[in-house]
Amino acid sequence: MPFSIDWTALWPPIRLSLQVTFLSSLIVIALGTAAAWRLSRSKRKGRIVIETLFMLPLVLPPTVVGFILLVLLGRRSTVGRFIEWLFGAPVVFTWWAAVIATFVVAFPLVYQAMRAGFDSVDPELEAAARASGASEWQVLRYISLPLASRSLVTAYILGFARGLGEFGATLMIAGNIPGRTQTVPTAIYVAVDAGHNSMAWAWTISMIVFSFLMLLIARKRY
Amino acid sequence: MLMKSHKAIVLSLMLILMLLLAACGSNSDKSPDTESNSSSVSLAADTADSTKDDVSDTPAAEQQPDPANQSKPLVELTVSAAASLTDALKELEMNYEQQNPNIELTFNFGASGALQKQIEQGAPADLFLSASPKNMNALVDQSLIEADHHADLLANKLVAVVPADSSAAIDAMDDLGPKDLYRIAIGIPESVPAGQYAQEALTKANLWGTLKSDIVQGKDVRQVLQYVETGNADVGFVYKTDALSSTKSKVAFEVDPASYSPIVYPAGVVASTKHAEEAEALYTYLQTDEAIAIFEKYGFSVPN
Repeated sequence: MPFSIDWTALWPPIRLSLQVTFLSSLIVIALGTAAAWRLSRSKRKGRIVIETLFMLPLVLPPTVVGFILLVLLGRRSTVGRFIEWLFGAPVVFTWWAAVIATFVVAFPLVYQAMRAGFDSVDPELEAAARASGASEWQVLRYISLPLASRSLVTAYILGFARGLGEFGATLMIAGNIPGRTQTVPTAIYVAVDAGHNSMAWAWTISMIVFSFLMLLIARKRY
Repeated sequence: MLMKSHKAIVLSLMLILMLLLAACGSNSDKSPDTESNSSSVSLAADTADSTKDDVSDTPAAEQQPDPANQSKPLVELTVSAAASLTDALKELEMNYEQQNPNIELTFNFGASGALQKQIEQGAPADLFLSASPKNMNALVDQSLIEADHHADLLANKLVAVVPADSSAAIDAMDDLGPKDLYRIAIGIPESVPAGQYAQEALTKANLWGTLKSDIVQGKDVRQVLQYVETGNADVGFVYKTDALSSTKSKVAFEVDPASYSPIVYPAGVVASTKHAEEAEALYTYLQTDEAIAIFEKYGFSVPN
């Protein structure tokens, strides 16, 4: 038994991981870019504090992030109650919780990459666009983003990769419900723990294949 | 876009701020523990040094109250123990180290399945306290645990816990069905013995089939308890000992012992130990009345 692969059990975690990572990567690239754009143009004093706060999920252990999220979004908290009232069900132990955990841990990477990208854009080009009557949105859409497109790809891949590998925070707030909230990293953890080595290997290989393909696509573009 | 990005920043900021606040809390929770740990280690090292000096400088041993104990070099014993033994072992550690100043106990707490794996991979453990005979037997079969130095040490009971402020009418197994009534948390049955017992009991009550797909599986008993304490699970299956240690949850009912296999905690000396004599002494101590009394204080019982 430990040396056989259960093909029906193999697929759900992979599908869930891709679904969670894909959705959260879209959210994180949008919000991360927006935050980086806004702060790279800001001269305010509090900027450095905000940026430091943004970086926190990167240095905190994922289980700490997960525990904080569990308390923040749990059924006892105001936020948790609001979500339960809004959707009629708590967010904890659903795949949406995994999306949130993944978003939080991937955000610093995306933010940092986009920040560097926007900083590398010559401010005079943006000033020229503004002088020609472009709105802030047009400056971002037609000047800054195209010039920072290399960073955009890097940021997206970093965010996606971090999300795909997310384990600690996800396990904490999405729990481990096989077939529902069990992502590939959680499935690997459980399989190793239970001695199902061939299953653990099968999932590990699937992770390597996806990561490899993604890096390959990214490199092919540039 | 301006409005949008503004909102995004405010939202992210709020989240991060809350993260920071909570992070401070958890940090201050942790630090005293680590500090006391490191200081006890350095203290122990100091005593070891000074004993050495004493021995070489003053051959007249009558100054020492108990030369047999004092002159021995410091031995660090690593005990791989099931997570549910944490509190009881912490108290035993103080007693034992007081009686045996040359012994420094280090604990490696985890799920029994993980601990078994670590020992199979050659982790430097001296004593193994498992929450399940299955893990112990697997190691004995591989001759990784000394065949004549392992025994059933303790027994435990399975209980259902609910949040301390819960008003849910949960008094017996039958109250848990039908589906979607309560969010139930158990340990991962494949690797957490408490989860395996819970699965057995739920199966016996004809509930496993219907509830299975909704059950959250925690990576160890503590996580199950955490889910219940934070109100995110309505009911969780943990050991009686874990339920007693928690103030934010309460026992809803004791699961009928006939509905699951006996919960036995075996102890065994790891065959590859470099301190066989000391490990065996500790193994013997754990079976004394004094040690058992401490275990009983935390809710354990003696196996039949």
